[in-house]
Amino acid sequence: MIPILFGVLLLTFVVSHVVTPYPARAWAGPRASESTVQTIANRYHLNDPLPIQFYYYLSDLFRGDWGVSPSTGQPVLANILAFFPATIELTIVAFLLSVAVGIPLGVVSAVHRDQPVDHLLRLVSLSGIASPPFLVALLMQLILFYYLRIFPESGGRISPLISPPTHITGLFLVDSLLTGNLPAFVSSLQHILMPALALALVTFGLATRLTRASMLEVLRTDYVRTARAKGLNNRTVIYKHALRNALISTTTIMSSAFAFLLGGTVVIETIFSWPGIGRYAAQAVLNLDFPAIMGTTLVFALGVVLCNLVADTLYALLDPRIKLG
Amino acid sequence: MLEKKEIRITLRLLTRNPLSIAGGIITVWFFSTAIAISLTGSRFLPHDPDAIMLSNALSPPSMTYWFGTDPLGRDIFSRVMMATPIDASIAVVIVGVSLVVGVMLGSMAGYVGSKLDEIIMRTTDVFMAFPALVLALAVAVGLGPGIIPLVEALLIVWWPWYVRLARGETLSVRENQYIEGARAAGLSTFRIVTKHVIPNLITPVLVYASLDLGYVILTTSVLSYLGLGAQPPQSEWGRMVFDGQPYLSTAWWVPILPGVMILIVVLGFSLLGDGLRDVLDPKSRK
Repeated sequence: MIPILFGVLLLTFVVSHVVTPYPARAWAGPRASESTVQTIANRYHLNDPLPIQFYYYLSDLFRGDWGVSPSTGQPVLANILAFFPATIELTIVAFLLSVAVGIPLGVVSAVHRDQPVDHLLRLVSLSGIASPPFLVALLMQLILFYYLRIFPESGGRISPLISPPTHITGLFLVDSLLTGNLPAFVSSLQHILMPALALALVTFGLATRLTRASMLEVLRTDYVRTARAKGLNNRTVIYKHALRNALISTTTIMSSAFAFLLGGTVVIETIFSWPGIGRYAAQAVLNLDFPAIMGTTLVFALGVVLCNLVADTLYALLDPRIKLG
Repeated sequence: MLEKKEIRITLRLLTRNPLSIAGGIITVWFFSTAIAISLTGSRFLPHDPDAIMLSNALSPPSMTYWFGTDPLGRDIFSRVMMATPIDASIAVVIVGVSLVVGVMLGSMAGYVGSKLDEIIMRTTDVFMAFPALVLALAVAVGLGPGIIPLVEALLIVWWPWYVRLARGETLSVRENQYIEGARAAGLSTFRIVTKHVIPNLITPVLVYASLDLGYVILTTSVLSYLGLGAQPPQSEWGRMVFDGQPYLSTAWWVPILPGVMILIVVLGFSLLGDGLRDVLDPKSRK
């Protein structure tokens, strides 16, 4: 955990100070004057030897100085914290959606192996993985919004006519439930569903395929044969004996799916105007706003490290044979 | 490596699955189009990809304009085809370099073990803590616009997966008796790894690489959708989707059809790689 975190910080340092040919120019932004570039270079010690730069880089990070975004003129950390809850909410809903749909379909696929259902599900889940996120998002907008008019026009987390719920966690769905604000809950649900579905498509395919693969492996084992031999009905064997064991490996790998989800937010949030970190990163790319990009990259990496930690803990809880050492 | 007979059996099993055949056809078509276009240019395309004809702007897909035309009246199908060489070569370069680097580092890490293994694997852990897309974005923005920075950015994020894969395979190859025999015969570590370990782990790595070509194309298209990589007037699929986005409600084909093209090609690689893996995995082979 600690070595990984150190490694993550070292890598962001290498990318921002060593790989980048003109760090001071990159940090100052493309439209900055020569004197501003100089000020930035002095402020962040960009002319010092690299180890000393790394020391200042770390101490700045820990003091909460993540640089100032040239395009918004605000501190990067403040921007990221403001956009953070929206992204968390979106990724959690997308993750739940993909797992809730993906795992049952994976079971169906494994049980009906090499039958037409299996081929169809394989095609669907592979298309989910193979489709560019922007294509899915645009198709959903085209069909669900322009033609069927099921969902509200994309943009924001809640209808502009409804005031957002009182800030408790920053997650609109949770906050509106906690305060009993039903109109806000319904409106946020309507707004989150389309981007979450679009985002979920990639990890949904992953969940289906992982569940299928590990189910196939488990269904071959002796204890499943024993369960069948002692006359348990098919349902019990599949869901009680096989699936519980198959889920162990699915759980661990699905945690790495969070990395995909976070990467996906960059595109999905942009298309659906979802005010989160992903859209912030995409705008930073357009504006060549390097401090903002580096800040986002760091936050996303910290998020992935945290998810892996959670997954390891879950792994130990799910599988009594494994003890946390 | 695979024996001749092995290859024949593999091909026969592979062609039993209609999805794998479809994947194979798409893959072959994609590469032959890319090669044909890079050799002959736009000569054999239905229209000149850069010919602006404002009277024809935004015409829907038809027999003359298969994918319709864009706001400048350019034929979208021809423009999509013109972009194949750039995507094909990026995919081949990224996968090729990652494969070579990954197999070398991974097989050394797995075979030598101890300290070297620790160092190499902890390094890949760090890289894999980043969402690949986001790290590539950061590197590409730092390096500046253009195709070369894009390729460099992708290379930086792509190799660790191959190290993981090659190391995992090495760990099982290492236990074979022929490795012990080679060691007993006094071969150097370098020779054992290059002559005995790598040839025995290369098949699964190549299968993974065939799947992976598609994902490089996918990631490239996302990066160029976000404004990195190919700069206008060069046509690139992700960029075409981005530029066509304002016309979604009035002329859906402008952004959607180049996107569908990406989906078809990536799906083709996935189907082929998936089928290959099923066929080559002794456990699922029937």
